[in-house]
Amino acid sequence: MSNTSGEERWVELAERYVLRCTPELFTAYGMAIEGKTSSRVSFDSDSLVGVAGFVGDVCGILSLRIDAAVVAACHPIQKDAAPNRRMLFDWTSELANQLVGRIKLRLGNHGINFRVSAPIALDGARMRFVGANGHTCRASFDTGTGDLDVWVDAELRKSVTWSEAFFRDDLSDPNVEGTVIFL
Amino acid sequence: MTTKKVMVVDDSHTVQALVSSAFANHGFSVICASDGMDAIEKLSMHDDVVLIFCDVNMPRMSGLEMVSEVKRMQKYVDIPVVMLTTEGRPELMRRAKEAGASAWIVKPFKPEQLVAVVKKLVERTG
Repeated sequence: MSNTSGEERWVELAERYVLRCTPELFTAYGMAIEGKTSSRVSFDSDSLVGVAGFVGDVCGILSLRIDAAVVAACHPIQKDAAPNRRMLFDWTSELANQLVGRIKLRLGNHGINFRVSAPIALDGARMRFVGANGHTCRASFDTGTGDLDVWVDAELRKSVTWSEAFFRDDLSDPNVEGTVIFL
Repeated sequence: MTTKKVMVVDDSHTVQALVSSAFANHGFSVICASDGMDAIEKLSMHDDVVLIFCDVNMPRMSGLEMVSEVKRMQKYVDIPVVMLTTEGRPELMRRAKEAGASAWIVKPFKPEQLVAVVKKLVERTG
């Protein structure tokens, strides 16, 4: 059993799966992305922010700030005309939803379970992210078309007793995305 | 000739559009609904839906609640329901199976997968 505290371990797991799952998700939509050293985040008029809240063993939010050009480039419905603003908002919220879902699946392996709210998308102009819970992890990525940033700001529920899986690093990846499972 | 109808239930308009485009050239028309309640209302207006794709986390009525409701109604009991979701926990899949769902796809999906699933499940049920 690790000597790491529950809170330290949670931050470690959150960072690990944000860094792993974000490139996996965008690659699935045909966009290669690379992690970049965190720098000042620009919330300008071209920024969109997808937000998904979650409640359970950990409670908090995942926020995805993303340049509108990136949302348009990875939009799955590619037509002659560029997607309009409403389509970009909808796709931004769905990307946040799919990202939190992908991370949730991996955290579930470690015995961390929670329910995800319906995602929303916001205009990123003049926004600022302020972590409320003090357990924030942030990762920034470059796509070549534009940047994106992911924040997880969440707090462990104090009453939870963690299983051995919470501290294990040798768990196999669920890797079920894109597969059809007949029930 | 009457085209067969597939329903997609998802609060994302992008996912609705993606499913619609997947079937554009395969002889199916697609009915879109934004949540479980909307789906049940629209099912009553289209009695020839052959399969339902359904998200799990939606406002008003979740996908699992919707499957339970639909399968309680005799006239819809034979319509296969495929969960199309970011969720992937075995416990949820077990509950979906108990409620009457036929398959589970974790997003992201490929459009051709949806067509293949419809052909398989619709052929199975005749």
